[in-house]
Amino acid sequence: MDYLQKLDRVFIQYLYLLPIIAIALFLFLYPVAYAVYISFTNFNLYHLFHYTFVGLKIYEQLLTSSTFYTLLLNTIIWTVGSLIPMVLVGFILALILNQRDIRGRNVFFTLLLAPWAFPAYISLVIWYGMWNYEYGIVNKFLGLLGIPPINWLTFTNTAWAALILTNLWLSFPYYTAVFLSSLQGIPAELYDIAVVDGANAWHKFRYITLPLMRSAIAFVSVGGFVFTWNNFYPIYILTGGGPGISTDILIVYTYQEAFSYGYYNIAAAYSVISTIILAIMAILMLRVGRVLEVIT
Amino acid sequence: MNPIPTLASVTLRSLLPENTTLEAYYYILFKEPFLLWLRNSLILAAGTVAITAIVAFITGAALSRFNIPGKTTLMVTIYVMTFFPFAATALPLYLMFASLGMLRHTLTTYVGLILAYSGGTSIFSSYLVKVFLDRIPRDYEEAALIDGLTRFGAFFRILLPMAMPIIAFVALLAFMGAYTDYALANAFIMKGSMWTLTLGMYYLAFVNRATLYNVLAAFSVLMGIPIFAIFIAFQKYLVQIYAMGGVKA
Repeated sequence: MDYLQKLDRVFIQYLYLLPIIAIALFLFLYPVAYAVYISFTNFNLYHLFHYTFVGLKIYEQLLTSSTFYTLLLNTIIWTVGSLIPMVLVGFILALILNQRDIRGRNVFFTLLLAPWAFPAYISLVIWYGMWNYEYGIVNKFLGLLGIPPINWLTFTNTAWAALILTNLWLSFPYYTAVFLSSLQGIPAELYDIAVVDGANAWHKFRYITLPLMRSAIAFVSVGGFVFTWNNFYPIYILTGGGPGISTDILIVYTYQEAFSYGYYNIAAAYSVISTIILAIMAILMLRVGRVLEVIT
Repeated sequence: MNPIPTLASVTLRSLLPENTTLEAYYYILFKEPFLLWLRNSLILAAGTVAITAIVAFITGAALSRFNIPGKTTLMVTIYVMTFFPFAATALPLYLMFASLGMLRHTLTTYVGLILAYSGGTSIFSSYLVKVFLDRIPRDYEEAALIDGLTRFGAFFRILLPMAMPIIAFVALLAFMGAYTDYALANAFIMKGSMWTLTLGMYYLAFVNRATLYNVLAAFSVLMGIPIFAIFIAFQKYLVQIYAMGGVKA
């Protein structure tokens, strides 16, 4: 009887989890499994009803094409190129805001959060206008300095510069906020003791701040890496991957391939490969940065 | 509020507004179907917020308070799922809803979109709610249980009022997710009358080349109003979340 009662209680407790389990099954696991399945078929807009199983053919095509390697390289440029400035700027700003005698910290902080609170989608459309050759405010400012206008989004190098600067503007507040809250978690006594022992500012930074911030930096970097890798809107809105596919990344290409050209199977294969690469990198970084120890 | 600048006179003067006018606002509100797009966006956002808040609260409360066998496995699965890229699920979800014939009618398209958005937000949100509830002592509910309240009643009558800050935060995230989404809406929506603000903005900015830049600026100001309204409405709770410092989006 006791056993039955316990079973009954566990069953009722599981009922509470039913919604989330249903969501996980139907909106996550099933779609992912389906994506894996159609990446092995010739299912696309042109074979919508009569598709056949083609095995690894799509993957073979994909891995032997130069497009895939260009996209992979671009994704890495985009992710690493964005992440390093974002973490650096976020960290330096957090250090500045964390000084004990700074005035108006809350005002600065509120101003900093504005780009984060405003929807990225709208900001990006506005940024698209700002990089415009003829009317864009960036070229206007350059004009004031006597620099001729640049056609930002039509050349690969300047397009990358514009993309990364825009992304930096969009995301540094988040990094500043996270770093600031973990900087404020460092006990002030540590610094006081160090000063008594004759430490200068650099020593304090090198031997107290940096070691204590190590896990926060690692955690934020891994999260930022995963987020930037899959960050769809900046590239989709600013360059659309152009010129050609020279600034295209895996996720944007996947989306275009599926919803602009109807090659569902190729898109599915791309998303599977992208997810596998990302998962491997994230796991490696989690191991190296020993972040999992922090979470559990 | 600025008439269109030209490259002809590049001076500091030209960077400042010359004659302010509300013409752009008039144009966007009455010449373009802005209000229709706004209504569509708000319907989708409201549905997503409702589902996300309810599912996240129930799941978060259960994960925090029950000792269910297999809980750790479920927690890890939920955590890993928050890492999935949306592109890995957007396409299959689209195909799934399309094959169910749901994308042919307005109502079912909205249901599909709301479900797709809620799927993305409620998993991450459940995790946030769970972390938040772990910090609230169990004494209150246990006292209520002794007084004869059911488990379910204790969750909603005792725990829910105390969880309001995180519910507000989760609601804000869900609102932002649905309100500013372009990728899924673009894939799912077939008819112009179902367009959302993001689709309208994309059309004005990239397809209709004749759109003036000041109209776009007016558009983004108007589109930002609901978000700031929600920020202000939830300010009391959001400040508490920030003060706790534990939850980040």
